[in-house]
Amino acid sequence: MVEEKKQFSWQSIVQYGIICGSLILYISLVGILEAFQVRDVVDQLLPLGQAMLIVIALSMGYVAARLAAGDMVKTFGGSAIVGIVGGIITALFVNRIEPWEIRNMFVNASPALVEVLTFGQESQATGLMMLITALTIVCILGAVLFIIPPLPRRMILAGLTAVLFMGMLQDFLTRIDPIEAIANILYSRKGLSPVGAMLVFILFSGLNGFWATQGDTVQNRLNTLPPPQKRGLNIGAFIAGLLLLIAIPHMTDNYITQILFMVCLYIAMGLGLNIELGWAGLLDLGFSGFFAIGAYTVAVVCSTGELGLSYMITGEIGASYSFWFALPIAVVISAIAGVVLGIPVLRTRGDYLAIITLGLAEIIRILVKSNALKELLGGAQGVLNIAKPTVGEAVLKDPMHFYYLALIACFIIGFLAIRLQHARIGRNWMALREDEDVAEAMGINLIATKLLAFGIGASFAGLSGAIFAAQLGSVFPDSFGLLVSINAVSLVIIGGVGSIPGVVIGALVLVGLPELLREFSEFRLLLYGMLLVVMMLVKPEGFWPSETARRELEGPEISDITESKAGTGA
Amino acid sequence: MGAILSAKNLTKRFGGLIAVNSVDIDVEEKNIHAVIGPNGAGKTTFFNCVTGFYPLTEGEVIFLDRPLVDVPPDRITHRGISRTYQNVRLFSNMTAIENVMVGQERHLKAMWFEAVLKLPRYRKEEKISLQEALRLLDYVGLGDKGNFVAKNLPYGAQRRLEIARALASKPKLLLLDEPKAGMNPQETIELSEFIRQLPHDLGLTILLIEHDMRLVMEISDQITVLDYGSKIAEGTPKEIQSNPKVIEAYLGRGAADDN
Amino acid sequence: MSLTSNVLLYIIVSYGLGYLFRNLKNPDDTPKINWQMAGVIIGVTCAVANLGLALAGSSFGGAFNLDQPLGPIIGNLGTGLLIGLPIGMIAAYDMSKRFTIIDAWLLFFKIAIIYVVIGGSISSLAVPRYTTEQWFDFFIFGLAQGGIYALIALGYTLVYGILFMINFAHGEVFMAGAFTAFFIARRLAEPAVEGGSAYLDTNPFMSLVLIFAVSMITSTVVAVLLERIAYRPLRRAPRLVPLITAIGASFFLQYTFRGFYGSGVQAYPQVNALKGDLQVADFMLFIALLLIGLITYFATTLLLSNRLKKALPHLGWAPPTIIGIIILLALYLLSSPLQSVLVSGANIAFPLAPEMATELEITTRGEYELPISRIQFVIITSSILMMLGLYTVVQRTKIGRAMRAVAEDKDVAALMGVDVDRVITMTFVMGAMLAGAAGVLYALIFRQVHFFMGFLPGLKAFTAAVLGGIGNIPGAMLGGFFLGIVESLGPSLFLEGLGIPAAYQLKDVIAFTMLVLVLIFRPAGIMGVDLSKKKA
Repeated sequence: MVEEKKQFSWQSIVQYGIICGSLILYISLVGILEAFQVRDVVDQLLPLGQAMLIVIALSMGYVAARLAAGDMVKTFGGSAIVGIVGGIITALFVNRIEPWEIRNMFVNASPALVEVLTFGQESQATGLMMLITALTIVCILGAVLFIIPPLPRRMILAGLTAVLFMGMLQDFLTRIDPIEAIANILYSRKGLSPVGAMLVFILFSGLNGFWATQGDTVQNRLNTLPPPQKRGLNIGAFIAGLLLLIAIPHMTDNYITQILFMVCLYIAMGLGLNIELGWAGLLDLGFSGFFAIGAYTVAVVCSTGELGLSYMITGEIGASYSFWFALPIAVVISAIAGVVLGIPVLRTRGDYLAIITLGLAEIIRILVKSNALKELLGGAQGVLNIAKPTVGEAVLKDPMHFYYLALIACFIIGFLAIRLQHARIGRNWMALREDEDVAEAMGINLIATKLLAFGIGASFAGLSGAIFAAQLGSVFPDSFGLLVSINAVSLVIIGGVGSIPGVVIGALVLVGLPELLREFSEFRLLLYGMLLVVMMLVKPEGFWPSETARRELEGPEISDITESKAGTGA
Repeated sequence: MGAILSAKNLTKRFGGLIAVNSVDIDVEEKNIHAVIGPNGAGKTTFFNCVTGFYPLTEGEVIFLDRPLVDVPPDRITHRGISRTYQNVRLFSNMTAIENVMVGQERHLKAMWFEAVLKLPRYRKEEKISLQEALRLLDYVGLGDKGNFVAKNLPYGAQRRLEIARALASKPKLLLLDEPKAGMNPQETIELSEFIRQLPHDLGLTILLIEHDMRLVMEISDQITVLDYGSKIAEGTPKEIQSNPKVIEAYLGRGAADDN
Repeated sequence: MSLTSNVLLYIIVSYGLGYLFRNLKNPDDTPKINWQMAGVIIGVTCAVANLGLALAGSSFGGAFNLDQPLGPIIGNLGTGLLIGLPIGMIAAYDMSKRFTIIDAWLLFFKIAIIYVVIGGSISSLAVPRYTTEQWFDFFIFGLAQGGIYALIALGYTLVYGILFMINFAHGEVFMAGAFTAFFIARRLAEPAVEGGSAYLDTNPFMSLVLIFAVSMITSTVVAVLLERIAYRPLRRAPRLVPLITAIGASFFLQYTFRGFYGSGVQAYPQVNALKGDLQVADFMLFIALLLIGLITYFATTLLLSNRLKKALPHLGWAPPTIIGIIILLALYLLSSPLQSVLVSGANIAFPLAPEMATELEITTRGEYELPISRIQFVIITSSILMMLGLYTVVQRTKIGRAMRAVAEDKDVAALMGVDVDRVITMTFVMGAMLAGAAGVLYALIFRQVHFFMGFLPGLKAFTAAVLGGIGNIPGAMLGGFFLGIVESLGPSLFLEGLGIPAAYQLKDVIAFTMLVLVLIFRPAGIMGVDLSKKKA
């Protein structure tokens, strides 16, 4: 958070202690602590819930030490007090849970929570003493982290983060066949094995240290490679990545493939929204509507039921049109819908546009769900019995098939997006985002440019929706609510507004990760919301900002590297 | 030489406020024509009316013998008028080259699907467009700053970039709104030299708003003076300098008005 | 009658004739027929065409049931006129100006809306589907609902007026208060001892005060934290950034409270004192309360205010709080004796005729029932009172003046010595208190709370705020009531008449449609000045 520079005072140290305690109370009451406790980062030693406590205490201790500005007594005394205050607050709360029947109000103030916070000790007093002591020690460790030199600090932090992540990724990594052997060394029954944790820590902190000291030279050497070699390297990396993407479903099981399939769909949708939001600057909160239109088009054209197009025309149940016939129709209809719904909002800007699009999407969803359109689109029961796509004789039905389908769609869309970004239309979109009046004064036709953004963006979402419907076999209005739009907006913003790799990363982190860690799923929107707020406060340009992306993709065309660095670095 | 742009009885009212009051101006081709006047005299409003940003309340503007009534701003640019802004308005998160390339909109024809398929026309156009942009940046002295993001350029460079962007549409008439604002004396000398060269180099006409009298007197061929939205004088720099009305409008109200 | 084919008639006639009239021009480029005239001609043409088509049995004509009371000729003609005239006027007016493809498309929207609204109304009213009492009930319900929307809308309007941002998370501020107060309400509704009576029943007044207080305080805390942590660092950021933050905060709060209180729907306890219809005695109680409140207010301000200010110079919040508590105590202590005096006085002055007493099964005139339920009455009056209170604060007090100054220009206000941060916090506090109160009112009438309850009312309240012209306090009140009434009458009035099955499902569609229409056509609101453009 953007904190103003504070002077050291014991009062602010106590404040930090209170913040520390409140954060612990928050994750306890909201249920995160208890839910995450079931997963071990390190088998038997460190469950994820307690790992979160450590993260909180470590960072609070670190922040408190920063205030002290070098004075050793203040550094360690301060961070210790932060830990003690935080611990006492938590302990008082735990102690009052039963007498005050706090559970009547806060559903998560359960015995299980008490068990987590008291380390499963029989006597509450002992447990709480342990909690306070542990928090204090970790806070002091945070202070230690602050006073050691930057390089080892970086390495330790990288190692710890890696352990945390690797611990969480157990489900994923152990399901990938070729690295099963390695995974078996790293992981035991639940979480990393202690040896594995050590290995991961050493490996990643070593890598980080290497990159910190040698990274610049490596990068320079890469950058100064002669163009053909560089090109070769890029192509090589691309082919390797492609092969990996193709191979993944064969190396793992349907569960992972299904997740990757969803990630691909969201990438496709995110790239569409990225055109509207990232490039043209039009915040569309009704984007799921176009996804829905694509899905419903395929549903109606391909359904073998009474709502299917085939039944409407021939009157026979059981037959349907092919998915490959429906797909272009879905894309075209979504694009048309994008333009048609885009026209009325052309004259509104910024925040009002966001609310209008939200309103339009909700109107459509409620109408589809209501009885008024039931005979056409099935109302709340949706459209069922969508025929699976076929290729020749083969029926596409496994997650793997759909994963490939979505992957192809992603590549097509990504290709289109990259080409558009660097063309005249891409520049015009960005000009529009920067300053609408000036863009118009430069001769840009605002109506055409905006409608093109709506149309192309919507068609991407429509394509994604079409594949979604085909895989699911049925569509329901509630699958396309506001939350889908919020997902899309979040992944574009958090990944990096206007950045294509940002969308990919956003989809992997926001869609892939929560699916992988099922404990998260309940807190998914909580985390999205928090991420959106934190991102806007700290790094509004996203994880992978578009400028970096541009430099990477386009390369220095006319000037040397130092300049383009100076240009974007400031 | 005939008038490239003539405004007849141009009037703009905002509610009860008359910003520009029945102004007639004829801008001769290949001239540097300055519009001066105290703050709030309606100069920028006049620009906004000419470029179609505000609809006129009354009167008409004729550009190259065709009226500019109800023509939207983007079409006016396509007719050959281009402008800069009083407080620089660049596309601040785009690079200098991209800014200039957006300015070339008037001459770009390739559609989006041509870009997707990289058809020959698109490729050729993009190549020419990039070369042209680099040439223009060179012309305004930003040849080495093409990949800089606009907002990171120093102020004087931003001004020049804005002019390069305006020139990119190869306008017949260039509207400069206080190009000197915020420049140091050295930059001002360079600027006046630069503006003076423009009609010769590129064969265009310049309509200029400026506060700095010395600059205006130095470079203008013709000057129109506005005060409270009305035209109070017109003529060559010499005539204007000795016009009692102008002196009153400027000095009568004290120097405090002058920014 | 087929709706889709009938609406085509109006579309074709209005577009066709409108375009014709637009192009009929005198040599000096002025139109031959002015737009009012053109509109009338289009309207009459629609009516005649409608009659002709209907008599010929074509589905392109339609009378919307008006033929049943008035006969086919007048019915069809009348329907045609009623729908055609406004459509014609709007089409002719639009086409008299610059008319681009966007305008053409927007005109299509306008025609469809007018068709549905007028056609639906004619159809519902021509053949009475509901009695007058039922319409009145819908209306009162709409008013009560509208009062709640208005209270929330004030929060949007206050914040927008000052920061020019849509506080998307305001609905969650409303939810937080209502949801938290639920636990107090539930506690109060439980008898203290087995078989005893609950405090909520024995002392509803104090219970409600407590519930309101908890709700308002929770909402305030949430809103202040929200402002402090999420919005304050972004004051000078581009406009979309705070909006995205607000959306994020909205989901964060929703799921935080879901985590805290669980995902289930909780049933708010019934306040028995508010059950049933309003009786004359209740109304008298209300008047009594109002009188006591006003008298105590003036008395305490006269006697105490200045002394308190002197005694506690550094505690600006203390005098109003103390006065508030005194007023509450006075209300609590004096209301029931005063009420019994009033009731018995009324009984003596207007004794009840015995035959009437037996017929209505009442013993005194005080029990005579008015056609409005107690709870609705409470909601409507309390929301109006709170809005008046807010209006007074903004117009009369020092903090109100500071708020208006900050709304005009933050930098100048800061130069003048106004503490901008404090004013903005106070704005959030006021909005949140109203939202907290609205939350309890909402819970009292709909009797359920859950973590997602803030979303729809929040969005509708935003609609109300825009309807009244965002940034405009009286506008938000009117907008709220207007939206509440339209939403309550709409499904029966507009949609059922058109033969749409289960029209009540589309209640939210009406609200959203109004949202979209207002934002597209009148972003300045139906009455206000365009603050969003003026100040931005």
